[in-house]
Amino acid sequence: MILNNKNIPILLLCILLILGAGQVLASQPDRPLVVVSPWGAKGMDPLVSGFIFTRMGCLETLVTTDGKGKGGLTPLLASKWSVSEDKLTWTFTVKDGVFFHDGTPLTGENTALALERIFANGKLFKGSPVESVRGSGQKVIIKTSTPFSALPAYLAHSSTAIMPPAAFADDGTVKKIIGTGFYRLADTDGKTVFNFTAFADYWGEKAKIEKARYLAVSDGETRALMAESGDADIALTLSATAARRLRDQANVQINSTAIPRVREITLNANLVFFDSAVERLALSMAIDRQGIAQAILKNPETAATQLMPAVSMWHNPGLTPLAHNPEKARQLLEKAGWTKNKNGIYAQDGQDFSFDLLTYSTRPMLPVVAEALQSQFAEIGVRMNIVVGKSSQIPARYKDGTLEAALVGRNFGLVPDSIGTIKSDFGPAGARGSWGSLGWKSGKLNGLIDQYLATFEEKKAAVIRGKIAEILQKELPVIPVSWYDHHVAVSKKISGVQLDPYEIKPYTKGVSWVR
Amino acid sequence: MGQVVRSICTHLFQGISVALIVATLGFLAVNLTRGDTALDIAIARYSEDLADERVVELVRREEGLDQPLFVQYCQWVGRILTLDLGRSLVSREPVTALLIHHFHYTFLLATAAIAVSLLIALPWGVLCGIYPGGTFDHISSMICSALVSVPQFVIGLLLILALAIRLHWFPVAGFFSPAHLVLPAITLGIGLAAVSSRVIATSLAEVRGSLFYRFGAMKGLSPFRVFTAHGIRNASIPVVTYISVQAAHLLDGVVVVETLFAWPGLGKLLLDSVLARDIPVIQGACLLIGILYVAVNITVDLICLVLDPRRRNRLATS
Repeated sequence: MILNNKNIPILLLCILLILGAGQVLASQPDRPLVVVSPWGAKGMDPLVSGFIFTRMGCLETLVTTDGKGKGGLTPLLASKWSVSEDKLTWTFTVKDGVFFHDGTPLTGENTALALERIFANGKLFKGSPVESVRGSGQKVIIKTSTPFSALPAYLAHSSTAIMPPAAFADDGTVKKIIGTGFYRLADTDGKTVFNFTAFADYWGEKAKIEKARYLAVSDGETRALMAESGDADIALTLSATAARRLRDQANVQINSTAIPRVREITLNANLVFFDSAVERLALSMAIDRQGIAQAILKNPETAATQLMPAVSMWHNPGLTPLAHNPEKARQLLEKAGWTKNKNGIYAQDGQDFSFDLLTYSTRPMLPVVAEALQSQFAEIGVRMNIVVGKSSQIPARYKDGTLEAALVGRNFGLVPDSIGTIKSDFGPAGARGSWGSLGWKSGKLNGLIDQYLATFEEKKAAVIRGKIAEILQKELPVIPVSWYDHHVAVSKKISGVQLDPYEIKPYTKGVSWVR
Repeated sequence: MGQVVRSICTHLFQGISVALIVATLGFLAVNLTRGDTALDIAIARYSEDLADERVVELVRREEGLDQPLFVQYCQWVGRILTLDLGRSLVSREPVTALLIHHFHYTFLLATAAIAVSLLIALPWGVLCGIYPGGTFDHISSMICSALVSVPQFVIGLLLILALAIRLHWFPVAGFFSPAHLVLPAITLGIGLAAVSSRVIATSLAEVRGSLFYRFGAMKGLSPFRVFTAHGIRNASIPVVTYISVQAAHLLDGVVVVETLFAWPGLGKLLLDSVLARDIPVIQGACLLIGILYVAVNITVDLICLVLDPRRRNRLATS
């Protein structure tokens, strides 16, 4: 007998010993604050991966958000800023007594050097009117070719984080991450894990937890499970379903914040189906946004009543909300010359109202929302075929003009002021990107965009924003479906977590262990 | 000995040729698929929000993607001749460094998974092989079928729920300590053990039914002695071959398990690179995987030569 009954308990004991050893190894003294996020680094350059370092409190920008939404800005490394009378020269004054992690003091000169590289290589500033930058003492002077009122908002973007000359190699590549934040980078694999330690000489409120770790975990369910098990203290970007499940857990609380990202249908206005505002309004009226928000997104508040959510400075509370009225939708289509054929589908000149909607699964709810839209459009007699592909297919087909419609999750919160994205999506032909409306144009809106960029008085700017929002609501060059919530699981072992709708302020700021 | 060296050289030559062909096919497949490589790279590098037409054109120029395909391919071949795999189009890191980083974790996981599978499969398979057709063997067969048919992510999730969430024995995901290796290794190991145990059982049952094995018992050797002297070595030859196939599969990448446990292995790297059309990384990974397959094959051949004197004789007389 090779293995008899006496040997089996020994085998079981061995397995238990191995499992026990694992448990001992799993316990870590001096635990760091662990933040898990879906996004890893695409290299160590803040121009592409700066968000990791700014959100962890390692790198800092001249300007940041006030954390309340609505695009409110507050100084960070800059103590103040002003613009010349001709609106073409900006002067930023950087704070005194700020030191980089390598001991270098923050000055106007080294800030200007860092910004020079950012303006030259940063993709955020491609097509912007920024012309030059120079530093003198504690001052940074930025010149623009045309008035650019959104510049402070652009300088809140993570790619504009300031690093000293020692951070760069001779060829301009990043040698080492050196910032001014309350955490300094201790070690990293350069991709998914970043360990930070508190910076003792920080100029502001110092880190209350000595160590922090950022870990990229692409799978949303794994992030939720890490929060549930206590492996993660802050788990970002959870699905609505996972957030709902975690609400019942005793050791975790869920913070849900509205963010300026919108699920919208991008349309090709060159096509006969979408070439008039009446048809676009009919499609909009066919959408039961409340139903989608309630049943799929688990939050009726996310039903879009206009393009911009309330958290955005571009939200116009005076607009009539987008309504669900299938009967009116049918009437509008008939008014636009569409008649139902024997299959119950609207048709015009022998052509069925039938189009392809392209969407992608990297933003998980999009295909599910597309299915709901398909059935709601079918209800009024419009056939929509869903094509799920890669997100890059949308700009590719936009460029070659073959895009019919696409359901996208558009970020209007790239910087606290959405004017750049609005110009790129709806503005003049030369400024257009590849995600907004195709074939739709409005001279009036283009004029308002130029006017907005040259307006430096908030009251007047708010009036222009209101007018632009009105045009987008009336013309519907894209059809808003729902707004986004950002669900974050926060361990009850920590306190002080504040979430910024623009995800610009560090998650780790002011966070401490609960005693 | 000369024959062994010649056999290894042949394997190496074949392996490198296959790896180069696979890398070339990878290059062609990515480039001939509909879509724009520069656009995919721009989105992967700068996100959808910043990847507008101006940025895409910049990326195209920066990375030489405006060059004809033939030129791009020749540049890659030229670099390969100097043992330079180039840089990732997304992160701009040297491909060699990326592959080493990810292979390190793949190797750790594969080794641990095989260790777990052997820990389970050896006693299990031997028991079934000693009593073939018995109740234990029948029940084992059913359990194996069930385990093989359960998807790996289900096993992984169940393990996480039981051992990480309920018992807090192991961390859910990550790669910071040996404890992080346990759950992904068990997830992979359970599935592998289910099949390995059947291979071991069948092989052992066959050996135990063979004339030489029965002759050993008839000439008065104890059952333990017959098993150790004639059973283990003969039964292990197909098992070693099978485990090598499993090892090659593990090195190739187990994307689902790597994604679930946030394990930075080769499979995840390859998947991300394919989605982003990061051609130098795809080509480098194809080369590495090809070379790994050859290495595994050579190792298995050498082990089999050690285990089986008949093979040594055949090689010597060929």
